[in-house]
Amino acid sequence: MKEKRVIRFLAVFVLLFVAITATGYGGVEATEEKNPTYVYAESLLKLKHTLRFNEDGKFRIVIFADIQDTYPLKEDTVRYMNQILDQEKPDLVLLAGDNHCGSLGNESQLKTYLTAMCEPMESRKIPWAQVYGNHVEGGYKFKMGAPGKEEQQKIFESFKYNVSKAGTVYGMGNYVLPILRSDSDKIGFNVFGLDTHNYLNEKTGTQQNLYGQKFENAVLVENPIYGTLFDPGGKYETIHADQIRWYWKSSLALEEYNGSKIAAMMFFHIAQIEWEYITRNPEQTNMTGKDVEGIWPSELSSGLFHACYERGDVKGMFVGHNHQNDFTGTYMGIQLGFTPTIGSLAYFSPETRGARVVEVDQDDAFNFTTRLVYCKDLDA
Amino acid sequence: MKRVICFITLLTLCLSFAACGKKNQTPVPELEPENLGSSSSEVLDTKKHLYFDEQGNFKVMIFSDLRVSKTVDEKIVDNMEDLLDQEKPDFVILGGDVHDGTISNETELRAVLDVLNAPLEERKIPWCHAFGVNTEGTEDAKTGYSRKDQMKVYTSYPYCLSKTAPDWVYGVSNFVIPVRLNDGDTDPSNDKSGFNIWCLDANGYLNDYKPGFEDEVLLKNLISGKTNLDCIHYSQMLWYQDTSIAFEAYNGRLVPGLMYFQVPVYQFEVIKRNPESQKFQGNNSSGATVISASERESGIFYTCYERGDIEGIFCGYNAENDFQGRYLNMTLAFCSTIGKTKVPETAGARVVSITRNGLGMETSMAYVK
Repeated sequence: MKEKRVIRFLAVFVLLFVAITATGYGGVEATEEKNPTYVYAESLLKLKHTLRFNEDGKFRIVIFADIQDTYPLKEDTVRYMNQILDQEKPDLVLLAGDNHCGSLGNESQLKTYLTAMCEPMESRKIPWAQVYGNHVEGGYKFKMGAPGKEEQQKIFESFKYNVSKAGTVYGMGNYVLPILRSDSDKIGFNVFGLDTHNYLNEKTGTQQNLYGQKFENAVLVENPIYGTLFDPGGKYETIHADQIRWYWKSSLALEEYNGSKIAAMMFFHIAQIEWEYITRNPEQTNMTGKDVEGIWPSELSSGLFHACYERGDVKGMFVGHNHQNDFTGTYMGIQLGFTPTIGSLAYFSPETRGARVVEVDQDDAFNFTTRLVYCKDLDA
Repeated sequence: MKRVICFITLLTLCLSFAACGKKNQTPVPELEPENLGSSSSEVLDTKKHLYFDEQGNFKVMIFSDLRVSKTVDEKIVDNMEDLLDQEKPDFVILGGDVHDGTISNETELRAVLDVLNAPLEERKIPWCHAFGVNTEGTEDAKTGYSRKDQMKVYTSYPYCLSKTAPDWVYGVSNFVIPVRLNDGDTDPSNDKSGFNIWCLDANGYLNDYKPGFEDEVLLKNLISGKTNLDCIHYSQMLWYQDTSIAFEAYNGRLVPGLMYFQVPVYQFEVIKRNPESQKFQGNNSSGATVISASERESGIFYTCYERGDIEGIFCGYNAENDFQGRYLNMTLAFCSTIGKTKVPETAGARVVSITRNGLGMETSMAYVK
């Protein structure tokens, strides 16, 4: 009798052990609290499609900026996008804002437009992600009734290969795309996307009621400090402090999770004042490419550049917005660059129309390279 | 039968364990200070507690950039005593370069501080300090006497409330001192802050951050005018935001405050260039065409604006400047020196009068007679 009891007891233990191991929940683990930084990092790692370096340790990104079209899209824009994707065969496509011109009056119109716009990526099964520009619901002082950013984000995410996220901080589309190494599940490279928002008078948040529609006047005094340097002078909203805080903490959490610092790039729509150092010091910054329009940063600078410098992971920041600019240069070890427009509905220059390519090697990710693909060369 | 019962019992046990594991999955934490930064109970703590008076008033005086050498000019102490007796402040900030960078060890620092702090300690006025760019020597001659070691000497004085932020924050004199609301409750652990006094370390010269940094930052053609001064670092701004958020959570509302750091932000230029619209008041006497902001745009001005709790940013460095003005609902004010000055007319200290238990703030200069 006693023996039987002992055997039964043992059987319970063995079976319990097997069951717990199989379901992956240790009794101890279940009650112990997980490191919140790890849990947070894991939430950042969750993407619709896992991004991973290729077998050869390489990863290629194509950036398209300012498609800024309406429905039906210009035939040549879609053709060039297809040609570039066939030529470059990227692993990820980034859309750097003003992805439509903001005139699409309702959800179904926007969906029809976006379906045509992302067809080059969707048909090739290439993961892609977008950030927002200043033409989201119209333009400066005119609104064209397009759905708000929240609805737009939902439509973007409804596409099978779109890997963007809404994000938890000010604006829409603030996220990180971690790219895993080919030989392990460690992160080899991070792509941060940030929203640069619309215009000063559209600023929302805690200070909204203070100035409302007069915020631009409050910021852009008669003789502003940065705005006078630029044309048309700083009427844009700036990247918010809570976005920078989110970037810093996310970068830190992923580093802790990974056990080592992760090289990164950032893409957003409007240049920051630091881009001006490139054009003013072409030789010292190894500037290449053209500065046709100058840069149009916000009068309010929130310090994103120096935060990235101090964090030490972001080695390149790429913007659009000024359709004819395609220059890059390096200031304080960070490459600051433009992606010229790929579209043709809004203004463009036949000389610079094209896309930017970023190529990352997982074993030398801090020294990724970048180059331009011009439409004029595709025609040749 | 027994076997069947045993099997069922086992199955139930296994399933319940599995379910239990699923329920205990940790939720994704918010990026809030209690998880990844400092908490309010720590920051509320100071060596002595500051309170509003019964009328809800509190007066702060800022003596910026005294820049004394190894021997203190008696006139500075006399002027300080006169101004203290005239204004009767509740709290004093010794801002920026308290000494001129020639002090190289504890004995020398103590000798100087004994004299400078005597007017405050004797009057039992709580005070703090915020380091300036010349703390560890001048631009070319470093003393090797570190901020951390100097901080220890400062905080050894009974009425010095200076603190140090956690290690991950760049610089040493980063702290907040709350002015507590007089709630009639004798238990200080229930106190809430009515107004926060924030001090940030101005840090040093660009090359103090790392050798060659100046060449990296200062290219041939600059944007905001060439100074080789460092700026507020992002980790300081992050600490300020986290701590401010913690205060807001603890108090149930934003806690208004002032911020002092030595090197002016470039936004002082907005006041200077738009005197009428920005309510410019005072003197721009330092002679420089552009105020001495760092070439690096740290974003501290915008960050304070976005947080919405800073009523005024107070700076020194251009020690003959005493002008003030308004930009984006904040006061920007220079604090001139009572020490060595080329412009005796601006020699004085800045007075900040906080009223209505923290909801009102006004500032003016108290000049040496």
